[in-house]
Amino acid sequence: MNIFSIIIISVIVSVLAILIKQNNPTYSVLLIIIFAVIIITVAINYLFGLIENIMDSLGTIDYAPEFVKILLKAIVICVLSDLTSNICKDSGNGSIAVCIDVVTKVILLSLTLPIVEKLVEIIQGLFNI
Amino acid sequence: MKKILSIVFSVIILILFPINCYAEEDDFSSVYDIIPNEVKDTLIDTEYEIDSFQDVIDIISNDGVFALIKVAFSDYSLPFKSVLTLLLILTISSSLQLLIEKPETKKIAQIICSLIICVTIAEPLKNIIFSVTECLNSSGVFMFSFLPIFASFLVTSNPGTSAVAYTSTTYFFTEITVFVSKSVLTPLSASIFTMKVVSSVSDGIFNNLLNSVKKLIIWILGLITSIFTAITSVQSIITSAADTVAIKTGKFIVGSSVPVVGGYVGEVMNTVIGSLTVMKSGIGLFAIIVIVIMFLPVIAELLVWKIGIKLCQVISFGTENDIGQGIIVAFDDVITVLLSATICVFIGMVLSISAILVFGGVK
Repeated sequence: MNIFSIIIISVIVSVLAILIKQNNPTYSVLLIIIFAVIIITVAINYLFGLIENIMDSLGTIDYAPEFVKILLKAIVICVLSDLTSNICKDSGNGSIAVCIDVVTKVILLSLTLPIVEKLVEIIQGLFNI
Repeated sequence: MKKILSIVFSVIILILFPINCYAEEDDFSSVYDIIPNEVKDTLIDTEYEIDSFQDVIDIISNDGVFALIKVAFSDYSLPFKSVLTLLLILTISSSLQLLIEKPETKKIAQIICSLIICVTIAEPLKNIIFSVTECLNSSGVFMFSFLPIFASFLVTSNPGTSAVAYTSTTYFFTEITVFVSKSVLTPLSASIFTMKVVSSVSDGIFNNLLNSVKKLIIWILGLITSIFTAITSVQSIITSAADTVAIKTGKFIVGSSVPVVGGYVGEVMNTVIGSLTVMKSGIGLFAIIVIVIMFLPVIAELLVWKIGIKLCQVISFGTENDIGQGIIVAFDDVITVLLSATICVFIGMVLSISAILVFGGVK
């Protein structure tokens, strides 16, 4: 799917959502969610291609690329949680959006644990030279 | 009659058993044995072997110096690889962070990115600190083994004043160097790095303290070098005069105490001193070469790191990641401290041996 089709579909969905919202707001939110899922799927396909390329280039460098995977994972989580949280806010569910934000932060912090462990190990090694 | 007989007898003995005075070239093993293994490996890489004094002259007069520099700069792939990885991480993180809208999520992504930069930097940093400490320690061990041998040549070629003064100064300097490298430099570098990382993550709480510590270290290194240079200069003035007096006194004592051939033996002393001066210059040059071989790869590696990290710093200023920038600056600071300390010790050791050679009578 190229950018022009995405733009055209986005405009159509926006108009439709406005029209449906006047009669049935629930269906409007449902339409937006379905559209968001499709767009995110397309974006994720592009993102995975990008990540694959980055990992290939890191593989040729052959030096400490394992933590870059964590970085990419963290950024994907951030993007997805941003989108979901915004959708929840738009549909009037502010509390769910806050929950998503909190969960995202906790997951991100848990992702950093191996890096922190490695860092502590290296710093201990530095003091033991 | 007695005098004539003793003169004839002495002349016959001198003709039959002449005293040969020359600097022996072949026996270099006692000095060669004290060379650290890594220096021997480097010499093997350069296809130069030091087995005699002539080899020492050869390594300087031929293209040996260029061969040494070539070997020293041959293995800098790790700094470049690490710097490239760092640049790649910076680029990936700054470009992908554009996808994140919320400031607080962006901040967390920045922290994760900075931690990854930290790990990428800390592992090579550990190796750098280890190699610098190893270099300072092994140079200290070499000097401790070399100085007694050199002192023996000094004592025999020149009367004791300059020998004792210079050797004790160099020995003291080496002892301070080894102590500082073992007990101060390594933990201090690690502490600076750790505190700077913590400071970057937590809005620069240690920045002023760390800048003061960095200035203090560079000031102390400057002070040690200045004191050492001042002591060496003052000693050179005092000991040169004392040595001249001591040589003249020695000649007078030998000339007056040894009957008949005292004057001859007194003149032979000049030949002996001259030969030992040649040996001393050979051994001194050899020690300087060994020290250069020890320090050159470490200094080269640190310089490559310094250049690479400056490049990273310039590129990181274009990104929004302040924490990452702080960590790169922390790494640069540690490299600066290590480079200053290494160059200070290197120059100190080379200067001290050169001072002994120059003021010890080698032209």
